[in-house]
Amino acid sequence: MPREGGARQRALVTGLAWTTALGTDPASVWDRLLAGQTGIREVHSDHPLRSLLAAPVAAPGPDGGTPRQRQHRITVDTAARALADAGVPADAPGLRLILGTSLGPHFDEPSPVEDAPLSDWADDAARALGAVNPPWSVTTACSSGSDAVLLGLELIASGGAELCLCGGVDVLTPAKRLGHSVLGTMTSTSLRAFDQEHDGTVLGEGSGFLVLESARSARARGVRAHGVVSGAASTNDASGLTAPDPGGATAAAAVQQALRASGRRPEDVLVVNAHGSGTVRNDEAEALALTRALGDGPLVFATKGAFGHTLGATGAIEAITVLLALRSGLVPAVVGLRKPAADCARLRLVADRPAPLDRTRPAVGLSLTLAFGGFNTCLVLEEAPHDGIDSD
Amino acid sequence: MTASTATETETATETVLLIGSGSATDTPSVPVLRPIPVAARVQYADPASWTVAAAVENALAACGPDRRPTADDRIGMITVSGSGTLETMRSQAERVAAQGKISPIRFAGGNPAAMAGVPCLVFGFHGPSLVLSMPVAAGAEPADLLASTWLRTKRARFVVVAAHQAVAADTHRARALVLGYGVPAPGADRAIDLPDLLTSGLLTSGSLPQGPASE
Repeated sequence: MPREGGARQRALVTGLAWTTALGTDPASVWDRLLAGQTGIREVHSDHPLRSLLAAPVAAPGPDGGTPRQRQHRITVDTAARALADAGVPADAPGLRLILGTSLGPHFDEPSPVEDAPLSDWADDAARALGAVNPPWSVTTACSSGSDAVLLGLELIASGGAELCLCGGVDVLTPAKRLGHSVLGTMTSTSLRAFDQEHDGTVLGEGSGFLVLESARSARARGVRAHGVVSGAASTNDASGLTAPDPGGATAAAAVQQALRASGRRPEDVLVVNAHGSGTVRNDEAEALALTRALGDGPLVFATKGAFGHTLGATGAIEAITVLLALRSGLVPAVVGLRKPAADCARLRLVADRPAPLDRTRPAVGLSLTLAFGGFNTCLVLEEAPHDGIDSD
Repeated sequence: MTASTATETETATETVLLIGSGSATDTPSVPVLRPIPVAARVQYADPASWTVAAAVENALAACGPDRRPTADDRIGMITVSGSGTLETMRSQAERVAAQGKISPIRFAGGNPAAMAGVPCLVFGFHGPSLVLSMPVAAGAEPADLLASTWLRTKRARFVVVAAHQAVAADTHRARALVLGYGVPAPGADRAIDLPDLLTSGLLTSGSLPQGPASE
């Protein structure tokens, strides 16, 4: 079914890579997720915090470094791996980089260059990679990674590009830890998304990148696809700078619109990666949104208990987890979930052990992100076609 | 401020329409209005975000009573800014380094995403929204792509596209366009050039308007 008023959205994912607190190799990290492992641990802070828990990554290059240096290294390393996975040289003439971050290094280490734009980190990464075209830089707080994918999908669908590298990056910094501590969004115990004892999130860091490609380009190159991004949509709660719409109506609308764009119905969705930040207000609003949009059909999982909340990277990282779930037929359990909170109990949350997907149905999954500023973004992801790459 | 009314693109079929435009300048001596009813929910926002909100208000007013989008319309919001909320982020970075402290309301209100989040909150925009954190001249292309796609696919009935620039220390300027989709009025101008519309009056140097809302 074509989307309302235009050509169908569709882009193949021909490359992917991530940097997470559980590692960088997609298959190994996926195994660790299925095993219920977590990358969250106590991390020193020079300042008092509600919790010392965090989910740091092993950044490439020398130990330490400033937030800006770490953001640069993680971006370039992850992006290069995603492009290599796709078999696309970074200097490919038609390649567009679409890079998202939430706060990046800016709250700790503004650019040393006066009047440097917020996109300087993206420009630096593009130069280091050798990209020909200037990058596009996106920020929608914790939906930044998802919105980078959304923008890439629109660019591919419009015919404006055949290849995009899309994703998000964020680094763990003192200002972010202090900010979430004083805002009260940081847990004082541990991250327990959708659990009746949930009381906040744990910050992480990392990156996720997907190479989106038109079917025509992928066919011409003779490459395989990890999956398909078949739809995307976003809405704004207009409710508060840090609080979601408590009824979840606008987040539900993002899900419904993304499904319409993909030509899929709610009952087609097998699995959802929820934002699952672990804050009471976010979990409750998201549970209402998913129930409103999808009923109690799909399996729901969340990965912040393993990766921490990677802020601007989280949407891209979680899109990759959905693709891996669709491919493996297994959905990891929500780390930290013991007994669902009353408002979340209608969700088919995966707890205790991985759950199998129904392999008799087309493999369709969603990733949903809810962000400060009211930014709700939903991506529709599907398994790669078994019978070759079809037409656009 | 003056209204820009119905200019237009492409063919006689449905296309992107410019419904209205507006600008705003924020200086320490003449700040833009921080709407009081909203202030209860926005304890702090960077001056850049308030400047964008003021430009949006002026653009909405320029649409005229018959064409002004209402809260029931699905309205999208795109903001393009190279400097974003750096003013707040720089001040808080200094505070973290010197005192090991951060202001919770400035941490929340200094997020660059608030450049679109604040206008959505002020005017009740529930459509798709996004900040392109890049210089206006470069960000106009993706803004054009998203706005036209959201309108054409009915993801939004109207899309407000705003461009912001810090033109001097403590001085912010923003320009906003209200875009719709439909059949252009007979005799209307045919082509809108979004990059030109966004940047005209924003990137040019010279004397700044004296009022909080001017075009």
